[in-house]
Amino acid sequence: MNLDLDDTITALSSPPGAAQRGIIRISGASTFEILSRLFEPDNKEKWNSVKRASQHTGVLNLSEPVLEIPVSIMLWKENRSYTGQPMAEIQMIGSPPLLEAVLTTLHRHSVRPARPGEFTLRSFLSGRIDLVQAEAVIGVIDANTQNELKEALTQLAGGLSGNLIEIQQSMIHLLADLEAGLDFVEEDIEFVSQSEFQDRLISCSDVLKDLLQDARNRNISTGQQKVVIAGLPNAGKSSLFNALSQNESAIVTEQAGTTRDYLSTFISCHGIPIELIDTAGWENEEKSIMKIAQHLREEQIKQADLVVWCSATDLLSHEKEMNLKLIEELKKQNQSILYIQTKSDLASGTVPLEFCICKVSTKNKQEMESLLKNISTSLGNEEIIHRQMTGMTASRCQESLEQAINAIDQAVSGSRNFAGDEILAIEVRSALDHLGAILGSVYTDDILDRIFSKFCIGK
Amino acid sequence: MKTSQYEYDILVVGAGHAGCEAALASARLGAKTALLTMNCDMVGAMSCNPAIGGVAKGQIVREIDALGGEMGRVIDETGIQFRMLNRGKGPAMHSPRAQADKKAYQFSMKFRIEKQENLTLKQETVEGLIIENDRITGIQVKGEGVYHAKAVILTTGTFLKAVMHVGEAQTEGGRAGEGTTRTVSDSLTRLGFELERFKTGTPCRLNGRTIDFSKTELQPGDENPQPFSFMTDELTQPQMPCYLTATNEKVHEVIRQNLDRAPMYSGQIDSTGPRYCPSIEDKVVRFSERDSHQIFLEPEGRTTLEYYCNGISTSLPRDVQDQMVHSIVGLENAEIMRYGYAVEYDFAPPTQLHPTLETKIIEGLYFAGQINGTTGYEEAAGQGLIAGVNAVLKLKKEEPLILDRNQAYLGVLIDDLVTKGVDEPYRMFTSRAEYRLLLRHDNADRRLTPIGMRLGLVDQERASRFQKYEEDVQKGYEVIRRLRYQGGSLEDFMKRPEVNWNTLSELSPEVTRLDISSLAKRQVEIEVQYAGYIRRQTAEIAKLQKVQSLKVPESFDYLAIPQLRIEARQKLSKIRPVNLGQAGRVSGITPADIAVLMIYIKDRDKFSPQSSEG
Repeated sequence: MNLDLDDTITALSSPPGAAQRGIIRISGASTFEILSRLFEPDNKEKWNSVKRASQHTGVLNLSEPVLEIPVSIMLWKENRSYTGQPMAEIQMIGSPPLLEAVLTTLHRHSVRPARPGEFTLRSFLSGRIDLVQAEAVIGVIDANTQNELKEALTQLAGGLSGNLIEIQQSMIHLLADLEAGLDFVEEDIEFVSQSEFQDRLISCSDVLKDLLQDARNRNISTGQQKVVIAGLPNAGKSSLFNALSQNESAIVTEQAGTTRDYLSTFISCHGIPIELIDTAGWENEEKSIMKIAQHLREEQIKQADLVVWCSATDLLSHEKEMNLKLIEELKKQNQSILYIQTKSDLASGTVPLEFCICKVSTKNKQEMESLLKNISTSLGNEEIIHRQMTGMTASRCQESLEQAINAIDQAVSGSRNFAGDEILAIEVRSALDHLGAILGSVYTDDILDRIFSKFCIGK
Repeated sequence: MKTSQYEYDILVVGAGHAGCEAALASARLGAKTALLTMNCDMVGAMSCNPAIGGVAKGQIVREIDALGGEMGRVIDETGIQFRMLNRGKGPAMHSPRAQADKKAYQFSMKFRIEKQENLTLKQETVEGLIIENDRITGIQVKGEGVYHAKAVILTTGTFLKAVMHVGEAQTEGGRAGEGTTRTVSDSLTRLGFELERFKTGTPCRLNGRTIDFSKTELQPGDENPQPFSFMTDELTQPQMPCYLTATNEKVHEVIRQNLDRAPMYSGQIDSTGPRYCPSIEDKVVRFSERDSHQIFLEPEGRTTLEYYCNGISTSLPRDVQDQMVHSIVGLENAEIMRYGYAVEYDFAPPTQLHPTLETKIIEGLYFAGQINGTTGYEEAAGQGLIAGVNAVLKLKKEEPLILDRNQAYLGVLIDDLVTKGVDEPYRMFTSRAEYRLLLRHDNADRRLTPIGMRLGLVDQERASRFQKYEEDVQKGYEVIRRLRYQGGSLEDFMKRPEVNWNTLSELSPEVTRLDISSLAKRQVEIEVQYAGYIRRQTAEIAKLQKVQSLKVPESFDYLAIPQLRIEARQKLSKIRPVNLGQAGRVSGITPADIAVLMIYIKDRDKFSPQSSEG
């Protein structure tokens, strides 16, 4: 149960979609102290002395990646804030990766990701909003929490969520073995050895570390939409990618693990934050239909919220056939697909492709505008809001994973330093508590069940 | 015939381990108390194994003692073998256990009850409860007697509608050779209490003259036995050994051949028994890969040759028990004095209780001990003490005694019972306590004696002895915090596992001169070595304290809160937690539910958990 009202908590609070400016909110006793470590105000004296609500500009130092970004911070140093506690709003450029980097940095400084509705709850408890307002918010949250957790879990672990449950199970078994040794010393049962204990912990921790790395690579925590540009070689994908990334709010970053075959960039499309992915990298390889079809089944495509399928205007007839086959392949994956006809400036005399929703030439501003509109319509606004909430849940899940890994590492080093089993049990329990925040709690009864089914207890 | 009338403040029904502590506590707090038992010769009887304490249970005995209870002093006086279990583990796991001279234990307990001012021991059989407007006002006893009282504590053990099984044979009664009561169960059901049935069992007892101990392994007591009670300086009595033998394939074969005659397997018993205390027939079936199970032969006293066969609890028929015993090494010619049996009895699911152990539907009526679905003398005694205290505090219109989970195993015990209920007989394990490192046997006095002193449960002698001890501990701390060594304090140095007071004495004459008790020295050592973890657990507790301190009004209507999930509404209105901490521990309640409750409770009480807006 993590509802401590004194914890310092944070969450993205700018409305979903508004990519122009992002706001991150922090509330709790150590707000000022933590920000003072990260923030270099232009006017240091003002930052340190002013007690009432005040605006400060300066530079925020991020730790992961190491980066300095200009921000403006609205600070309520004492209590006259929305939550009735010390509070701050970091206002900055609304780029999802940057927002995420700020959140990650805050988490590193023991600012806990807020639970849904936690700001509202604090606000109510301090008398800032009335019951009716609070009820409205909490009601929505209550309905969404369970679904969201499920979805976040799927996103977090992808096809690996089963692994996470397995890890929880093996941790339960491990704790049961440990507890049996503590509670049933008089029994004639075999207890787990320290080296076995360490091996089992390390293998759990390895899997969790992989999962965490994987989750980070997926870049899920800010909730931007993934749009993949795909199509036959020479369908004009790269030109389209380049044209779209010239949007001024784009920040091109290379994603670890995916750079070989994909190029990605972040753009804002009618207010929706989008991660745009170009599959042009495939073209350096063999251009067989088999190979491309195989690519279509890769994770990167499966996770896309929208695939923009480019069919060039100047397709040769055998290429047309290939094009249709690949589209069939793509349809099998239940993907949301936007069919467009590229290189429309070459269209003189050829028959327009009837299945395409719009014609695009990178040289035609109007057509590009209409493409963006089509993309935003296909993604749908409601979906985005939902996505973003899930994103916040996912960020909490990542946090929990990290904590679980820490606790396990503590247990391993404790065991190596000959700490008593009663101490190791504290760490293992703590790891289970953190996993429990993602997967549902583990109770003492679960441990006892396991003990009694494995060991013959009963002196 | 004229009905005899008696007037008391508090009545305790049943003089087992729960009843004795309840009655003593009540009388010590100044209430005029009567302890009613079906048989005055069975006060403080040990129905099953002749031992007190063990892992987690030993800690409970220490807590009872720290609150001025009697169990620790009685076992110190009448114990015949003392061992500190888990010595190889850290101090938080050390657990005292002792074999008792069963009869001596009973007599000592009875004597102490007889001597207690304000307390009357009466031989009576209860017929019914007298209730007026959902409030208990007394009880009716057999033979035209009525006891009037302001509160009644029921500690009836396994005696409610008790049936004993030995093979196909069934006898009414809660303990071999004794009776049962049907009328109390019926009264309770009529009042609206839910009752369920549990099963427990006990092994056969042998005549030691017929045991060949040379074929068994000797298990002696500790060389320097440690007393349970803070008030016992040392244990000087001679110790008696236990003996270890084991079952074998032949024994298992006998059992397998006769499973159809075992009440647990023939369907004759279908109530739930404890998984941590399975019958030998259960062990053989469920762990068929094991070819042997250990058996402890434990003496039942100094003036008897009766031996308790710990490890082979059974309800198999007599002839099978004979065959089984004779197949065991060392017991080839052993005579069974009493056969093992299983007993089925009524208990009242404890979610029907407030954390004070008062029932939710009848004011002034308290349940303690096995009637709440627990097992164990220690668990029973602890509940008895808490029920006794709370019954008196309510009469005095004072705040009840509700121990937190981080304060005592007794807190864990009662919170588990009233919050989660039980689905098998409940026994304490250290793994049930989140803050195990804080709930050690060695600091029980420091945790609870101050509470006992405040309430008046603790006599003057203990209070002054405790104050001296606490001063010693502080003196010890003062010295090791002040003196320096290797660039740090002696306290820092003492954090190393290999360092103790003797090491420090070699370093500093001031430490050598330090005149404090060895108990106090040991206390400082333990606290210093666990310091990091104690700090961490204390910080966790402080965090939870906020939520824990949000009280839920007694009349709170969960069903009227649309934002709560239906499951949460139903569960919470059944348990009716006293605060949000307890609400959060009800199974299936999520943090979102708690957030919703916070909002409504805040609104009702205008209670702010934050010190915002000074």
